[in-house]
Amino acid sequence: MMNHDELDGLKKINRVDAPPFLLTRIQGRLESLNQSVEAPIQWRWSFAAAAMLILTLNTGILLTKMNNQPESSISEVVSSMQLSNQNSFYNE
Amino acid sequence: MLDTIQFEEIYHNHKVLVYNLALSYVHNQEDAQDIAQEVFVKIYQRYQSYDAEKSSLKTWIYQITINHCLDFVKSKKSVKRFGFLTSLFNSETHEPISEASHFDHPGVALEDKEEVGRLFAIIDTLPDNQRTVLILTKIEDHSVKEVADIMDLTPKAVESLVQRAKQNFSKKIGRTEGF
Repeated sequence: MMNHDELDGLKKINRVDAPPFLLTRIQGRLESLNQSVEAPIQWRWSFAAAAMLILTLNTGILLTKMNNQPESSISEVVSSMQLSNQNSFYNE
Repeated sequence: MLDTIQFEEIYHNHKVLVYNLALSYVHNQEDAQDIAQEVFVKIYQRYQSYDAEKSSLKTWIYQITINHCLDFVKSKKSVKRFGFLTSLFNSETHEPISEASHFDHPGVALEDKEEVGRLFAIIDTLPDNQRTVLILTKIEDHSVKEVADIMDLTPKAVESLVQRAKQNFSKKIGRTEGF
């Protein structure tokens, strides 16, 4: 059967106060969390400027390529060696 | 977001609750302090999501603490399991390392430490919900209704959980006393 007396042994546990330094520890932890979450304002501006620069460069390269598209290297080789780049066996 | 004064008020009103509840799960001051610290950090971070209409602040803090304690115990067990092969024998003396749990509950008098430590050794082997229900009813001294609110169960479910926990506890204590 159930052993209620044994579980009553848990009544011998007294409540204790939290250690006095706990609040300081928690405040320190919260401070470190806040610091790690927020980057300094200079970093944020530098990151934004770098991102803008990369984006502008990419857009510029893409636009230049689109306006000035040369014949692809494979096509050049094919035409110079008089090869066929089609899968048909007979040149009809 | 909580301001410093509000947070300190919550801390002072609930520090004993959080620390003692953590001690009931880990039975040593070091781990209980770590748990209490992380629980108050969670309270600070999640205070915006607290719904006063759904539950009281005390119930909410109980839920956060219990969940954190169970996660802590689980992670500690898995670390122990992982390190079992490497730490089975002491590298210097080549002697087996004892796996006895570190019982250092500051709320237990020296003469009661052995008895209470033995009870916790059995309670710790129970499933999470049975363990929690025993801690809340036998140590925290809560009513069935209060436990139901904290565990988000119906009072009937809590009553049957208490019964199952007591039966399991009796079986296990019978087994240990048989040896």
